[in-house]
Amino acid sequence: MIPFFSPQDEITFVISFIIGIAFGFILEQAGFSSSRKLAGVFYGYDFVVVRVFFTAAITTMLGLIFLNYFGYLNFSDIFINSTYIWATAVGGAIMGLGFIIGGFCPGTSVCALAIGKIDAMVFVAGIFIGAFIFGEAYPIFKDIYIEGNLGRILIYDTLGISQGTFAFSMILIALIMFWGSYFIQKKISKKEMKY
Amino acid sequence: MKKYIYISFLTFTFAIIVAFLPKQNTKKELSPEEFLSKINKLAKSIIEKDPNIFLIDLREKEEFDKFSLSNAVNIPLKDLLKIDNLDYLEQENKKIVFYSNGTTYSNQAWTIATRLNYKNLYVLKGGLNNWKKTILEPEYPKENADFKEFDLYEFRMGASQYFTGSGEKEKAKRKKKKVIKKRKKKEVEGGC
Amino acid sequence: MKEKKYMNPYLAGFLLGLIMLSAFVLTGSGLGASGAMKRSVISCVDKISHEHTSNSEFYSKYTNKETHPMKNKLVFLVFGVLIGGFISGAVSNRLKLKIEHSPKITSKTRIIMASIGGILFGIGSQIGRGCTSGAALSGMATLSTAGFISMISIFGTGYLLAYFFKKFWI
Repeated sequence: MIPFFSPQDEITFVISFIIGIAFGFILEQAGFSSSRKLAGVFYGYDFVVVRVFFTAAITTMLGLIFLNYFGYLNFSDIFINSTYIWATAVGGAIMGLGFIIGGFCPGTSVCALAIGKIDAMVFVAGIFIGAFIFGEAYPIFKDIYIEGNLGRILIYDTLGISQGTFAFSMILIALIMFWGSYFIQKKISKKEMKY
Repeated sequence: MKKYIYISFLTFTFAIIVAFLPKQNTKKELSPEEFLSKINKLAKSIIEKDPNIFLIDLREKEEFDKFSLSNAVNIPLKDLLKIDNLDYLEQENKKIVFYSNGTTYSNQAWTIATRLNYKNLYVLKGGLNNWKKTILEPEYPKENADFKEFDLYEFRMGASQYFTGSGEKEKAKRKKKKVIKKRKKKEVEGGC
Repeated sequence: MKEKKYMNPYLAGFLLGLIMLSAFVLTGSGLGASGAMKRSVISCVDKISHEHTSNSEFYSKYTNKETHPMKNKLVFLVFGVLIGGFISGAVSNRLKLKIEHSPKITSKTRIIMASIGGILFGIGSQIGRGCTSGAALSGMATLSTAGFISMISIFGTGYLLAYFFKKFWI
């Protein structure tokens, strides 16, 4: 039954390592090792983040839904992150600020570090310092960290619609975004600089 | 460009398929029934002293003292939310299985603990009553049943012995029947 | 040798999706990066002063266990990312020590910005229980509410503040 290996198995570490290699390879191949390419999503000159991000999310989502439908996988057996509404929102906002200032996120920074980007090395060091600050100042963050726990809730239950309707809308929105990004990028790169 | 239009259509088709997937399959993610552990698997785990299983007996202490599954911890349902007891639910990498006589208590405990965001919780399907019936007094499968059921029976008999220490009487009967099973198997093999 | 072009983003996304799906199928959880960094920090702090970690409410959750905080699959995953990124860079001739920045700013400014961004991401990913890959991407794939809130929050803030940081990028 899925998942094939439990988290404490030694083999899981090997598999995770291999998955990590594939993950890093694809991230780098997609251009996620360039902070200017990543930041481009916020200025409309490069939509690679949105495209990769949503294509990946939809692929996995469809895969999980179909595996679930055919009875190979149970959503309760896989890790679904708990919703701590305030922690997630505030943490996300801080990360958003970090993204626009630093130009990476943790996964992409590791990837950029691997190909020798010095700014990525500094960024990774920053993440370590940030995590250390959080650990040391945990009593300050604790309230927001543990407040508003809604458990492992799913988005379509929150919105009160069926899974199918939600998945359909998400794919539709993604397609609109993909085509929209195509036209916006065409317009902007015609008007402005080539970086 | 043309390529993207094709891919868009393909993706859209998937979207429509997903939108119309029947509901009963999508609903099961959240229903507690889905979390019920398979009874035979559990018995096997207990016999093999699987360290990944943590049993919690939700009945009162008197009942627990009379009969309980091995390695189980007794936490009556009303005491579940005491701080000391909540610590038991914090089992990283272990499956926590609730059980009581029926399933009412265990389902309640499951719901409460799940709301509190504890992970890896299971309920013993059918409770101890069903456990006694299927594991301790298993029914002999019909002559024409397939091998799987025979295996299951064998296993349950073994399990029964393990839990009660009895079953000597049954042994002879089982051996005799086993011959039939083997013969049957040969026939099938020849047929193939 | 010339750098090779980047992969088509949709193809990359599709492949990434398949990798994430196999992560779910094989190990039961998606991708993530910040967890590994958190665990590295914790084990470092633990090395320096075990007393300190045992007394801390946050650290003790990870250090007072039988298993070492680094013995986690996310740590291995990030080591994999490091190697995978390196292989990809080698294949596409992109291995080069450099600081990438907009022509309008100096390397020094970029380094300062990167470190501030990193620290913010470090704090933010701990509060938000995961980063872009762990919380937002894997969360969205499993349709968890947290994933969507995280995604909207990260990109929403990014878009809101993009204007103020324009000169750092273009």
